[in-house]
Amino acid sequence: MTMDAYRIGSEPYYRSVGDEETVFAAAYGARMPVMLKGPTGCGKTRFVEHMAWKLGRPLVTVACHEDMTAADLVGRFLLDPSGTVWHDGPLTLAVRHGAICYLDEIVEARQDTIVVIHPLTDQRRILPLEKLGTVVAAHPDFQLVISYNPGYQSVVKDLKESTRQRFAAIDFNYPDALIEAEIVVREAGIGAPIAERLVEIGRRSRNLSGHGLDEGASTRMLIHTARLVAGGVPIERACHAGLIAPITDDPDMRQALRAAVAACLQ
Amino acid sequence: MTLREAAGPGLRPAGTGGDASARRLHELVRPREALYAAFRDSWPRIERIGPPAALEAWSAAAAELINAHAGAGTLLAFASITERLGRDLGLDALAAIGREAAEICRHAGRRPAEAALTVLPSLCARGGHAFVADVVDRYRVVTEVARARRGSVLPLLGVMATVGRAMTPTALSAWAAAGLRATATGSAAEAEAYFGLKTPLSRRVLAESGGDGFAARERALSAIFLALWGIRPVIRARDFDGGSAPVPRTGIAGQVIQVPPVPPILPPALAARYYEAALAHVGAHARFTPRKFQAGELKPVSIALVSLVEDARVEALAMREMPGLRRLWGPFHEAAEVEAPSSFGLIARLGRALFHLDRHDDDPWVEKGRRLFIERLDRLEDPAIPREIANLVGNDLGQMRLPFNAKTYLVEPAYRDDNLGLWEFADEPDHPAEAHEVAHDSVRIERKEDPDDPDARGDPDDAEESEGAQSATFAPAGPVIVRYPEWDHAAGVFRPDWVTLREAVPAPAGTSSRYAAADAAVAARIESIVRRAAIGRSVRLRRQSEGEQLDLDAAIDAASDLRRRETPDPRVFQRRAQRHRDLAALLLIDASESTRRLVAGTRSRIIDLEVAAVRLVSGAMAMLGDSHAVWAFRSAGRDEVSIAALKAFAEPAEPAAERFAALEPGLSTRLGAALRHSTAALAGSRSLRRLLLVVTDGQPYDIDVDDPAYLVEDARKAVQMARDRGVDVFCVGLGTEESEAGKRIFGARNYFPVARLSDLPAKLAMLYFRLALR
Repeated sequence: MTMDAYRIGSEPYYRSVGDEETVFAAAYGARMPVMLKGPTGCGKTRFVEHMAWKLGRPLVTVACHEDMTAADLVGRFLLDPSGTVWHDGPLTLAVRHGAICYLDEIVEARQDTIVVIHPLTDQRRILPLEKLGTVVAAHPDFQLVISYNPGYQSVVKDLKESTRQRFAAIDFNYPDALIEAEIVVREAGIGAPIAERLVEIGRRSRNLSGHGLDEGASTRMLIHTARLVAGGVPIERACHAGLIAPITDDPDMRQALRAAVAACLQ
Repeated sequence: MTLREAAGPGLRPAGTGGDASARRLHELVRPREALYAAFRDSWPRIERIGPPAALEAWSAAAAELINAHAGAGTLLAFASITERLGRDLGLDALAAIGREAAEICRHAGRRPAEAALTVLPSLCARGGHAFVADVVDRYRVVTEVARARRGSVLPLLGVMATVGRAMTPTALSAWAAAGLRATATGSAAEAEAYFGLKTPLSRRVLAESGGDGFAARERALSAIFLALWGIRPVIRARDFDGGSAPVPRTGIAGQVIQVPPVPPILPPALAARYYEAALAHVGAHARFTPRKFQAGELKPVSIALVSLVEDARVEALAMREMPGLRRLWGPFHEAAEVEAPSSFGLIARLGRALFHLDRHDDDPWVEKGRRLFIERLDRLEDPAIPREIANLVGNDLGQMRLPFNAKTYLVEPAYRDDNLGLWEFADEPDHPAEAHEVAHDSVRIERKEDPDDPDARGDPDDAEESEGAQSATFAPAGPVIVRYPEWDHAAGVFRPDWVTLREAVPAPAGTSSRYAAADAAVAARIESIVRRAAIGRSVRLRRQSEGEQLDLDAAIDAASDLRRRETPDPRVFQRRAQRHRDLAALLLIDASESTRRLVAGTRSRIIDLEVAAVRLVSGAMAMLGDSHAVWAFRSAGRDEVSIAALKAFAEPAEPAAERFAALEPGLSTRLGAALRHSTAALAGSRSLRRLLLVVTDGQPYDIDVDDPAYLVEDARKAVQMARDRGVDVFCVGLGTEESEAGKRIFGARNYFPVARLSDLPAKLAMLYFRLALR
């Protein structure tokens, strides 16, 4: 089985904002599991891709969801004409071939699913395949990375203490205004003045997070909006299509966001 | 006889016969001689307003007035306002007004009907523009009051010109509805006092609805403030009695922003953006005015000048960050009163010059101020600038010997605050009257908002309101059901058989639609949350097309099918899922007196919100067949804790709305006993999950308990004991932001503050998730 499909060909753009690359590289050196925390669209996934490219490892990404079972991660028996055949799940694949396995939005998965990663995240570094009655020892290059968003539904969805204490954590947040504007310029290919205005609007919208909005506009949303502007959409219209309309249906919050857009534009 | 002769000289013959009402009107008027002469005089002018169809409607309305025996005076008043306002409002609107006046006359008599028509012109004027659409809606409010309280129409009309004009029809109607409800069982004099704006309750409801739909916009305005400034504001409507004093400016009192009704002189386009502009200005102060100025020995005119420059300074700083604010504030400066030949006019003109720094001003004094400000643009963050500039221009103003009257000074433009919040006044006799008033207001308002303050219950307003409260649900001293112990936290012991629980017999009641029906969307969301809730035993689902494991039996069947060269059934997996719902729930409503209070920023009482919330949940549960009951409780000392079953477990269907409508607030909140009784009822259930959901407004309280912690600790104990018996206890705290007592009793994770019905689904989703986790 070749992992070529999981290798990242060219360098993904990532603008470092602190020491996160150093911390991650050191954690990888020790094959220590890493947890990335931060709001949606602030660059967690991009960071993992960037690091996987930098470290030259294949990257297996799994987007977790609430119906995901342990079998979806580990693998299951399927039926073929000759009988049953075992089919590796993405986690098993990464464990066998020494990839970085990235479980995105891990809290979305059910608690009984999350516990399968426990034997992989301590000194054992094994993955028991209960159905096969075997144990897979992790490839020396294997590393587990998970991400989650502490702000998002934090009350109802949370990691168990026994899970979270296995990880080194890197906190992510939206970058400072100047850096964020730089990212928007680079990703959307628009001029700095417009990017700076959009970043201002984004910061205003984040004031509302937790007070009517679950979260404010992410860097990703600002890039989307900037791309609309680059595509010839007038900026106010682009803000509606790229920021306001996707983020909320609440008329009061929309009004507040519109006021923020109006206040920040010349 | 020709039509012309029959109708008199004013009425032109119309061959089409589309003027039946006009002819009938003339026939009605003709026999009344005195009336006829005057009427014949106005008719041609009314007729010219047109169009014919509207004239027909108008004539029908006038005829209706005559048939209602409204009297000559009323009819002539109708004709006269039609002449005056016909072109602005249109005959159709006036016809509608005439019909309302006839209805008022039928219920309340001639004088109110005539007065209602005479007050119309003052209702229509705002900033020189007549507004048509909502005048008729305002009239409907008068009619509503006439139907229920005939004597109150005249007092109401007396305040209509000021109050009625400052409020949207919706707010006006809500204020009137609250009045009718509050005085439903009271005397006529009480109702008259309310509608004449003479009772504290009336003024409070008015302030809370805030005129101009402030209440309806409050959430959006708070959100705008938070978005722009990153500060969560406390915004309250400023108490304004609708008297002859000019509408005040925005006030800043500590953390509280008090917004007035929209000043009536503003044209509609600015009126619509008034609150946004006013709050943006307050936000600029909050961000850029670092500390209060010391008034010391400063003269009022200096205070006004320093404030003016400070306003300009913080706005300039704010516009550096958010250039779009210029578009918000600019039009107000254009509309501001700057030509008055007095110090006020000059000061206002300076304000405009400091806003539009690029515009030269012909007045040398104003120009000097502008120049001084421009010279300081590079160090605008310096809070000393206002004092500097005010000193330099203040002397010149003094030499002009223009009088400055601090009592009548109003900051211009209207969106700016009254500046009192910027100053620290020593106790000198000039200004403080107002300053104290503001401070007093804010204290009063904060107290009103604080549900945990036991003093608030002694508020005379509340006492006044409770007089009419004869609850239909709680018959006095029902049969004793059981006695419960109570936990004395000070002594650390249970007092056995301490509380007597009585059963209240639900009585039928009249009104059924007391609270607004909940939004259908909210109801639908709640139903889907209750439906999705994974409450039940997990079961193994066999022969699935997807699943975690192979279903061995299905796999063997499939394998044998394959060997026989037959098509196998592809459903060979099995998985686990939670299927059967097995839930017993008890919804417990706090029906104590404190739930009579209005939910902050809305027009509904807490109890109405409670009932609406409970009915939503109960309706969803009934639809899904979850076994549940709805109880309400209140207390009057330990010998009388009453529990009324609005819906019993055994009742299959959702109970009639009347039973809920009969629930009126009264007495106190002895929560612990009610919790124990509910727990006992639930603990007997054989369901897998047992849920006790308490819907309350905050703090337990009873007349025979002095120690505020006593009932809290007892209730906390009751919750703990319920948990020990396998009952999950949650609390939905309505109408309060946060209640420390609620968190203490139920645990912070099990206490859900809900300020609006629309917040309920989100909180319920969380609650059900908790339930499923355990």
